[in-house]
Amino acid sequence: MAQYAVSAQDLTYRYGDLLAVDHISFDIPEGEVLGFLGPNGAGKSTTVKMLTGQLRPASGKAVLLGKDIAQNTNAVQAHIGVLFETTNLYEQMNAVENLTLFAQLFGVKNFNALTLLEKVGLGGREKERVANYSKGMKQRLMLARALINSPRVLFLDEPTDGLDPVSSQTVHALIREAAQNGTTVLLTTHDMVEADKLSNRVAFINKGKIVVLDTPAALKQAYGKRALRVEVQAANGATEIREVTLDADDTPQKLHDLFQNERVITVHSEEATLEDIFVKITGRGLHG
Amino acid sequence: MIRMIAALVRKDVKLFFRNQFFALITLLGLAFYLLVYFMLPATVEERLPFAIYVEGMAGGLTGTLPLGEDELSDGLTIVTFDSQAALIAAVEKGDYLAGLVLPADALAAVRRAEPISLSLYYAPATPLEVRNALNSVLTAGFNSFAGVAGVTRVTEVLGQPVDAPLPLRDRVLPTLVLTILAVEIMGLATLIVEEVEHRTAQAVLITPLGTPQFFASKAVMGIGLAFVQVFAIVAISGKLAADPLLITLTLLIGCLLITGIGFLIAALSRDMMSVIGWGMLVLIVLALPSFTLIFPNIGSSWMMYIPSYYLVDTLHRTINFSAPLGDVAPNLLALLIIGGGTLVIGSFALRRRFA
Repeated sequence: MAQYAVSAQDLTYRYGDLLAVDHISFDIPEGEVLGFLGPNGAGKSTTVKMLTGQLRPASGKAVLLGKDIAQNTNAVQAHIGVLFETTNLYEQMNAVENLTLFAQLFGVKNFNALTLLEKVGLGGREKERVANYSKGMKQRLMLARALINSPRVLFLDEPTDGLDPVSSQTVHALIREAAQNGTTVLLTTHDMVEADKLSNRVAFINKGKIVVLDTPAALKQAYGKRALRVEVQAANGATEIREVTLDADDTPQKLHDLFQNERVITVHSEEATLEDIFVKITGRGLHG
Repeated sequence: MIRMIAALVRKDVKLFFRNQFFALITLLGLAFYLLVYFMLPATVEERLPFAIYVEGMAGGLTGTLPLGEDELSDGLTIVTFDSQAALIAAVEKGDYLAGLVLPADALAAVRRAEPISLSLYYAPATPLEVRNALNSVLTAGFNSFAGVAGVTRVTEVLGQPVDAPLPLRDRVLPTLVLTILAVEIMGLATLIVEEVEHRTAQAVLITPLGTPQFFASKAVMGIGLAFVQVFAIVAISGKLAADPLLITLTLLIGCLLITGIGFLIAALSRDMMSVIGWGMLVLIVLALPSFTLIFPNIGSSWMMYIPSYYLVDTLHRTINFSAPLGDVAPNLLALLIIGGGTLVIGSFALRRRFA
């Protein structure tokens, strides 16, 4: 068994003069969900393309399940699943036909498309042409396709981009289930809340380099503000904000006084969001 | 590997017939080609248009000469010209099977039983037996008029004779085959371009399927789709009986060439419109050699540089003249080399596109 499910070792890629990925290295242990965050053009997709064997690195190597993917492309691809950002289904075929084709390409025995479609919430729509599906249905079908071979490593590129909340929840549940079953997941996303909810660790990529890689909790501790934000209602009816620092000696007394003397409406911790941390580290936003 | 290729081919067949444009074009096209074939005359034109010019009688004897109802004149139409140049031009153009230039003193000389020499101009497509028959009729006719044998000498000028007359439908058949193949080039190229455009190729290539197997599936699809149609049209026309094995082999090698060209067009095209643009250009170029079968006068040696020449010529000779393998082997070898080469170059270009 490989020590790491995914190991990027000094990966580099150039588009002409542009250095898209600049000597990136990281490892993902089996069963971990790694959130891969960064703005457009940061090098996320190029890194994923190298990790999935779609691009050959200019230097360095991508080792998946103990094998260099450049040397064992098809053998490694048999054990990975990829959900692309852009819809790329055979739209003139129905869901069953789409899934059956990929099951045949993966050599999956006794494949039951209907069970998988039920799982992603597309039961009863299996005979419709995919062209008639909504974006959310297409995305769920693509996720089903990525799960056909029960992959050991799952690459998900913006899995909930543009989806309604219900579809997003279905997708999140499926990602959690895959991870619980031991699948390693590389989750590329712009959605900080999604990354925070699903990832064991997150990597920030900026200008082709990984600038930080840690658990969301550790990052929030390291970069966040340890304070509480308390909303109170003043005597004149207006809402006022009080801030209580968590690490001070008089913190318990201050909190006690607040609840004793004022009408507290809400209490929030003032931990930084992943987006705040990203901006703090890179000086640029995730959507830029 | 075969399992994966078979799965992709099944998918392509399904998608091909769900693309209403190409499904309609294919089915209607096949029906149209068969209709054209069977509507064309199955027999050779039996009318013998004959031109004549009598020296020294310019303007005095022009128009169609009235002929009697006897057997000799049956089907013979004689049209007189007012100059030798006009006669030659009309015969060269193919309007007349032959044209006779009669010297001014010919009739007087024959009457005196003196030797005469007649110039007969033949159209290049005039069959050999028609030439022989006309030569005999003229020689015998003038000799009997003189009452002495051997006084008349007929000199043939203009084009080389062809072996035998062919009905138009038989001359058109290789053109129909080539047109079907050329349309299939566009069908195949569109299938590939759509896979790139819709990024479905990216999805299938991230499975254990390799690029060579992906191309192999497209080649099987291209060859299969084209072959089924051209085989059907040759079989329905009844021409397959001439030499089933050799004709099948020729069609298969032709499909190899067409698949290679389809790959090249797919590598060059961004979308369906550019496939149609390149496809029409290729169709016109590939069809040129087949036109020489319909209009023999336009034949030229440079046609041999068009790859489809070897397909058309082989089909023409096998289907219409039952040429044996020995006769067409050099053609088939050339077609195989060009077809195989085109497939390799096409695959290479496509691989670069996919990279």
